[in-house]
Amino acid sequence: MAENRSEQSASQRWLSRWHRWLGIGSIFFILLLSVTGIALNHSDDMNLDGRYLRSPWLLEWYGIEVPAPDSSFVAAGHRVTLIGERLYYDDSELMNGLSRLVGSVSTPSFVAIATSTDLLLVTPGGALVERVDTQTFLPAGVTAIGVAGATLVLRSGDELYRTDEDLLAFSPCHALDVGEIQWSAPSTISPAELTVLQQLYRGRGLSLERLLLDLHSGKIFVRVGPVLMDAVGVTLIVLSFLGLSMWYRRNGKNGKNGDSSRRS
Amino acid sequence: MRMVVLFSAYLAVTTTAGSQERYIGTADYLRDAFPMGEPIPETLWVTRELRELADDTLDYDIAMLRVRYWHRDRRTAWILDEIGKERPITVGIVVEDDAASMVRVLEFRESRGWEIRYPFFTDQFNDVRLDGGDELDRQIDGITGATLSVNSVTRAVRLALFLYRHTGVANG
Repeated sequence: MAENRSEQSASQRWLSRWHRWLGIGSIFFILLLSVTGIALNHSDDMNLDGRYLRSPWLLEWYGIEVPAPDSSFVAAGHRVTLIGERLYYDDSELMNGLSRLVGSVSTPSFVAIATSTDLLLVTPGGALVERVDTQTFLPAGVTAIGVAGATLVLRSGDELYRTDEDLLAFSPCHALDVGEIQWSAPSTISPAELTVLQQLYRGRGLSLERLLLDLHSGKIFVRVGPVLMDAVGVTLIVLSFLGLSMWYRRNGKNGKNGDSSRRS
Repeated sequence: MRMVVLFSAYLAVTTTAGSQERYIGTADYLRDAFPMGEPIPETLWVTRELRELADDTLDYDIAMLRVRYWHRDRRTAWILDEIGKERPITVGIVVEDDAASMVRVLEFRESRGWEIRYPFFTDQFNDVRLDGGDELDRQIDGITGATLSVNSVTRAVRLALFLYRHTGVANG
């Protein structure tokens, strides 16, 4: 009887010891999973995908590299540069999701920036006036943008198109009709200007939501991370069963004692 | 290698391999919207008052200074870009007498949520209007896994209905 009780006590101690050490060892991960999980549950409310991280070592860790500028143009003293799919007007981002910058020119009212599929009208101060889908009126993509006096001219394939006064409608034209056209030509960006834009680009590369997702899943530690998080998951399952087992043994023992005490 | 591999995969999902697709050309959409011939475009200038009103009533920040629309009689067509998660979704909306119709996704650039292009979703907007609180007067059923895209189209329709009220077409 005493031997049996001693064995039970030893096994209880063993369970208790493992439960304690596994619990202590998991505290960090439980906190990590809980905090990141709660934050991700409220991602929209906290605008997590709109907050960007600028920590150099984090950006380095993620391997965020800045692509070489697609092209750069200057109009009315304002530099327009496309890096990746981000368009910069001087040193501020104007729009994302663009490709193939064709050029930029200055008209009396606006600075006009052309990509192969869009025409962006911008105030000299850098406020976007309108994004015009050139596919509406051009049979092919824009290949060049120029200005003839106050008239904006686009080239698409072999055809030329001119705008009306309000830059609302485009109509086919001949070069002779509009006079001498000054076509936008690429301009070399200086290293100092490029450095500023590269910093801006990198700063928009990693959102807080992405970091929290990777912390939550463990993917931030590349291959080891998910395995580690799996191990934490298994540990939590083991902890649950150990805790239940300890509770059952203790409760069962107390129950028996209680029953026997009532009987006596 | 470090995180580069992971981030490359992330970029592959979110940036490079976004399922960018043009479903309907702008000219085709306008041809459908105005079978009698495409009208000349007009613009609605976004004044400071209009911007503030949109901010107050729709909780919407109109980024551009003017918005282009096409109209014939009391029928207008709007082609608006709305950000889904990271990239713009181009939506065409016809508004006539304060009611929306012919809502179409012209171009989709996000990696997920493209199911919004199908009529089972877009047809829900037929004859939808703004109620007294400037909300759509009808519940729009979402699509599992496409919440952000659904929200974008809903926002675009609300904006088109709101802008229509401030055109000469509605007030004339």
